[in-house]
Amino acid sequence: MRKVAVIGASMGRIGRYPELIFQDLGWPAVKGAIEDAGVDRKQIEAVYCGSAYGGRLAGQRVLRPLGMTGVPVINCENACSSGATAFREAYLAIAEGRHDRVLVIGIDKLTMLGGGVLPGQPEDWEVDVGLTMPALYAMRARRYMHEFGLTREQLSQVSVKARRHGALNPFAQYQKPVTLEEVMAARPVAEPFGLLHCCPTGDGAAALVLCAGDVAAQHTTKPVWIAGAELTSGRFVTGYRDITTAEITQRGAGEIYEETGVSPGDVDVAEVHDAFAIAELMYYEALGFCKKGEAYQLLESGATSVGGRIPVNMSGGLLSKGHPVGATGAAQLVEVVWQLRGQAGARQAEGAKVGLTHCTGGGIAGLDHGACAITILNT
Amino acid sequence: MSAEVVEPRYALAGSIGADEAGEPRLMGGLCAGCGAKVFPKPKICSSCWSTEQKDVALATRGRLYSFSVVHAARKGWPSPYAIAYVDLEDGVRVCAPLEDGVANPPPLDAPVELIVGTLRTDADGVAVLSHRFKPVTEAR
Ligand SMILES: [Zn+2]
Repeated sequence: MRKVAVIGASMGRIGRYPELIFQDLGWPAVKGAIEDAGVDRKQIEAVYCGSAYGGRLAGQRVLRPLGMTGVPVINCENACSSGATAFREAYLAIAEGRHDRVLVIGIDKLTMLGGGVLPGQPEDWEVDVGLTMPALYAMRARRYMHEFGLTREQLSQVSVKARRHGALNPFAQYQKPVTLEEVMAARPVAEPFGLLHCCPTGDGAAALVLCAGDVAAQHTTKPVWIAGAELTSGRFVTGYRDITTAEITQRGAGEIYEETGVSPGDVDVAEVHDAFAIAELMYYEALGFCKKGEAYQLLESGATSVGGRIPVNMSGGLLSKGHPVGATGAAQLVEVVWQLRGQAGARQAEGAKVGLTHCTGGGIAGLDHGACAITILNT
Repeated sequence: MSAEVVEPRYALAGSIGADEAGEPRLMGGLCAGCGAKVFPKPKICSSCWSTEQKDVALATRGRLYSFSVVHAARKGWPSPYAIAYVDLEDGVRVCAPLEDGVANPPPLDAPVELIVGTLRTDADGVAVLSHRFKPVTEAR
């Protein structure tokens, strides 16, 4: 396996852009990543594009206005992990020697869907009796609160932290802090969640340029290295299951820590999949940042906030930065690349050398989640 | 004007049966290969790949594992409504609406029992029925 570097990263501000067509949402991020990388667009040998709701040929539609088609375009759908799945495939293609320079795109335009709760998985028996994504996470939250004594005020502090970080991020959909009182009083979505415990829907695109280690010096003096990129899917369980444990994340984290030799204590900055407030707490535990049941103490200690021991979701996370589903994995990777280069502005985690991204999702009955992708980057 | 009998529509085809006394039962699959009991009945067992799956009436009682009162519902669904995971006494977990869960939310782990009721009204104006669970009130 060859070493692989990230040499270009770009994204636009996540938000609601109903006036933009899909390709016009996407190409500015690609142009930005190509220019950031210092490569000629003709040097890109293949493109991996992740999108969950973009429909057919998402990658080609984004590349066409830039005159960049004519190379293999691999379109990847893996729900919330689509962008991260595309990134992993691109990484492996270079590591295994198939290509030297490739482009990764993550994109989704959720305003195309008309708003409201995202449609559930068709033909899913839990969806057919009324399960929604917020309700699934709300059930995790209620069970977690029951077993570990977490209060709704404590749960709400996750959203307060996310919005505090998002206020420092010019790429975030929400850039206004919120108070605990505002989170507690927001209109109910799926109890115990109100609106501010749930990520918004929005539109976004992010892009990265990857290259083989032996050509990285041609383009940059600040490569960010890919230590490992893990992907797994949920196991099908038909009986009782502990929904307060993020099984797929815990298993994926174990695999990538073993593969890379990195331990949770080595991670300087992390972007985790906080689609709902409870998720961030569950993922602290599943990623090994703290013990089971102790996630709130970690949050309360300030360790996961700006200036803390292991800042989590400095970008504002999905709760504040936004969650254009298939773009999210790529957007998390762009954020961590910027953090490791020291380019994250007011939200910079000082001296960060090892970064982790984690995204997981895709409600499918009987599985913890459909897919989970975890990546570790370092300088 | 002609009249016709409207057969009940179920949210999940084949999921509701009845016992000898005519009481509703939730039907699952019993694997002839390995004995796994699964809801809903699969066409193939994910453990042993046996395609011989018998209809089996699942336990009518269980405990409330978790639930949520849903306010932001999908189009065409009356809200708010309560949706739950129920752990049945025979080891099967089912997702089901929780009867009266909006007005009288029970504590987690409360004993619950099966009923059949209206889930929603479909585009033809016909009631769609499903399994539901309600807190057990009387002693067993
Ligand atoms: Zn079997």
